[in-house]
Amino acid sequence: MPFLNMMIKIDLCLEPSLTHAMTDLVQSVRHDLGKNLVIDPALPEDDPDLLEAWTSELIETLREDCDFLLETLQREDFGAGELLLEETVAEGLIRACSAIRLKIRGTALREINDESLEEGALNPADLSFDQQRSYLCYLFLAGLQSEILVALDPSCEDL
Amino acid sequence: MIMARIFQASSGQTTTELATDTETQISPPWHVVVLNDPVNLMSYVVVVLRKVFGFDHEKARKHMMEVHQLGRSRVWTGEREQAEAYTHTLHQWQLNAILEHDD
Repeated sequence: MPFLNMMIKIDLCLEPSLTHAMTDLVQSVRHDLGKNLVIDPALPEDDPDLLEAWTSELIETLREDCDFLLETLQREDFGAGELLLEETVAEGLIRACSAIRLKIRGTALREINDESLEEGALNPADLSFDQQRSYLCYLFLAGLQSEILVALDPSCEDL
Repeated sequence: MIMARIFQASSGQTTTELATDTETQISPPWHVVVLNDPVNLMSYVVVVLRKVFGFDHEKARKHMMEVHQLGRSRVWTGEREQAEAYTHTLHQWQLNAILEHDD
């Protein structure tokens, strides 16, 4: 029996210049993510072999997910309305969105407190140019992730 | 298999084997615990818990709210090997998860 990969549909209308700017930033973050994790894989015992295997698999998944995201952002039809995605690609995209948001949170936005970020109560005038770009990307990826999440699981729409 | 070992032990032949097997049976369970983070969306955590553990929406939402309000939620308990596999999968989904056991 052939493997059937479900398709999901999202609807996005974006200015191409915004997408290009976000793609550039995602590309630079992806470069760092290819070497390091964004979460701490704390294991209960000090076992270097297990940690090595554990970490290298996570980095491999992270690279694949970020590549899915970059390929999607570079599609000609991205941001031009309806976008069809295979479910496995969609899952990779939402993992990549989380990874990059975590990375941005821990680097460019590390000096900003959690409450301000969660409430979206940041004044752009208080941010440096790099922080403004990173914050825009942080919000952009949250929006993209939310669209995909609802398409994958409509029961999440109320959250 | 367990009964066979007990039978052999009662005849005084494999006491050591029985002791080892009993230790295995009563080894403390391992827990998979998801910790709060300030970045991942509530809806994302719910979808991940549903995908990884097969929870229904209400159960996934209950665990997500525990993580959000209490900082942590024990989402699965059982044997170590499976607990490690679940924790690794949660890490692939960029959730902050740890392994704990009762000792």
